[in-house]
Amino acid sequence: MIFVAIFNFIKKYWFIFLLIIVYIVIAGMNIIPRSLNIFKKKQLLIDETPVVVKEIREIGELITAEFYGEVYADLNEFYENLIETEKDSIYLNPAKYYKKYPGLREYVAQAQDYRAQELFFQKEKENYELYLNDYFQKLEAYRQLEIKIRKDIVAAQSKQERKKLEKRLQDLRDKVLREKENYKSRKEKYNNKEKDFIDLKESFRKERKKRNLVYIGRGWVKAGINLKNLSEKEIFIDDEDSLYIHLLIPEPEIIDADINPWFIYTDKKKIKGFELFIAKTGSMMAKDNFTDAEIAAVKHICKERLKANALEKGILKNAKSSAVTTLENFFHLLGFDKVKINFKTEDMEIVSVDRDAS
Amino acid sequence: MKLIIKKFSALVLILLLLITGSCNRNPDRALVISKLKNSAKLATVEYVVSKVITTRDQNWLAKDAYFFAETEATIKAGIDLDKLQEEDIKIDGTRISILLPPIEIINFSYPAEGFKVIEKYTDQAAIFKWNSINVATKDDLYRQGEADIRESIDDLGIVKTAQKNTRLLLTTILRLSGFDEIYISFKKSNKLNTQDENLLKELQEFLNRKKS
Repeated sequence: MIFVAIFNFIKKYWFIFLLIIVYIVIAGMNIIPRSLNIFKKKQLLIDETPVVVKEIREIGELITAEFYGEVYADLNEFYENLIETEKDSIYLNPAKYYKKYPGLREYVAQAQDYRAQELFFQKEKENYELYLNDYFQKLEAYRQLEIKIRKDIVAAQSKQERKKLEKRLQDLRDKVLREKENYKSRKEKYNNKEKDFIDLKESFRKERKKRNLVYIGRGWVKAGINLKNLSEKEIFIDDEDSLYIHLLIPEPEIIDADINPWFIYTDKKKIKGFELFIAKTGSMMAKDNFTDAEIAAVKHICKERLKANALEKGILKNAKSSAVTTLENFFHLLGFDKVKINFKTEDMEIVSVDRDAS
Repeated sequence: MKLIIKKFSALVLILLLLITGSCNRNPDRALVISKLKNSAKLATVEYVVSKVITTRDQNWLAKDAYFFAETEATIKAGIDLDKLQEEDIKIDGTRISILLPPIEIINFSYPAEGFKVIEKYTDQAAIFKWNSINVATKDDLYRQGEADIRESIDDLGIVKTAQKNTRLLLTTILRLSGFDEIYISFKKSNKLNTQDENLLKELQEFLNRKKS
């Protein structure tokens, strides 16, 4: 009896049952996205593994300046740099590079053509600019000559002389007209070439958009001085004044530059360090995904860019003045009236920063 | 026929609802303050720690995906000299006693350069890219890894080592500065914060300003 009831129920709602079975099959085959798969957790979780201490180092770094910033980089930039810096190696052993960076082969092919056209257009542009300069100079010279001939016509003594001058003026006008026509034709040719190049540029950019990886990175750069292994050569009290201390410290340098997976990770607030902005492979197939080398390369550019930004903002200069202030304050707290801080330069020449205690 | 169309429409509607519901909210845009600031943090210990990140994406009817990566983090700890006050130092001739600020994490570095995917234990591919362990998934796995490391910092014994090293470094500096009898102790802190305190303070102020 119950089997009949179940059978009737299935018979009545067969469509829903069919859908459920189809869903289970495609979910089991891992075809639908994770977010739509009710049999999977929304997020792929890592297994519990221990944190192992590999090494403990004794250090003595005094961080005196910090820079926080946001940068971005993409895979095409990396390819462009790679082609420039490792052109010969890529040429000699392309297979090694293409395996590590699968998008490089296509980039090399497209970029070669584009770069050649770019160089050609640059040359064309330079020539056209030279021509323009020459053309306008000529026009100005003709204008001056025309004014002079007109004056000469007015001042002409005889009819014959006037006619001769009028003929010269007419010849000049013809010459100007010819120059203007030449200019029009040259301009048109240049405009066409410019349009072709812009189209090519657009098409190159469009092609490059098909496979690209873009990251936004947020992190910090820290600079300071190394106080490790200080000896009596680097810290000593003045022979004549026991409240006067001399310090010889190294020049500040970048100590840390980091973009972590998390920029801020607290219970209250979480901000990603590396944020994936675009990951387009131009294919639906998993085999065309980005390789780990490609991902690491883009992240590396972000980090280098962050470092460059910090240096541009003057992190080392700040670190130096801040180091002086920090050490002065510290030694004043220790009871010294006067603190003299010297920096060791690369060739060990001493650069002195002398500030008396206030 | 009408019934089938009706059912099909209902299915499409359900799917649409599911898709809209599963769409992720725009990621929280960073409140990064692009600026340069002075600090006075003395790092005295550096811990290099490793963590293996493993995960398995199991499927009933399709092959499973695996991910196995060795990762490395560098943690530096020490003290913030800006927190050292005049009343924390007592000098009596060549005898000095200093009460130093609590140990804190000076820098936490979990760089992408230190992530090494072990290919022989990894099979990231599914049939379609949205189900494979792709770039976004890997980033998420590394974020979980970082969270795990940050949470276990307190158990690594970094505070004690940092105290020991700070004592050693400052003792050297103080001896060179003419002190013979040196006593160094540390203020206690409730919880070891793995994030830069000043940055968090600035962030909180920024959020408060935004709210008001």
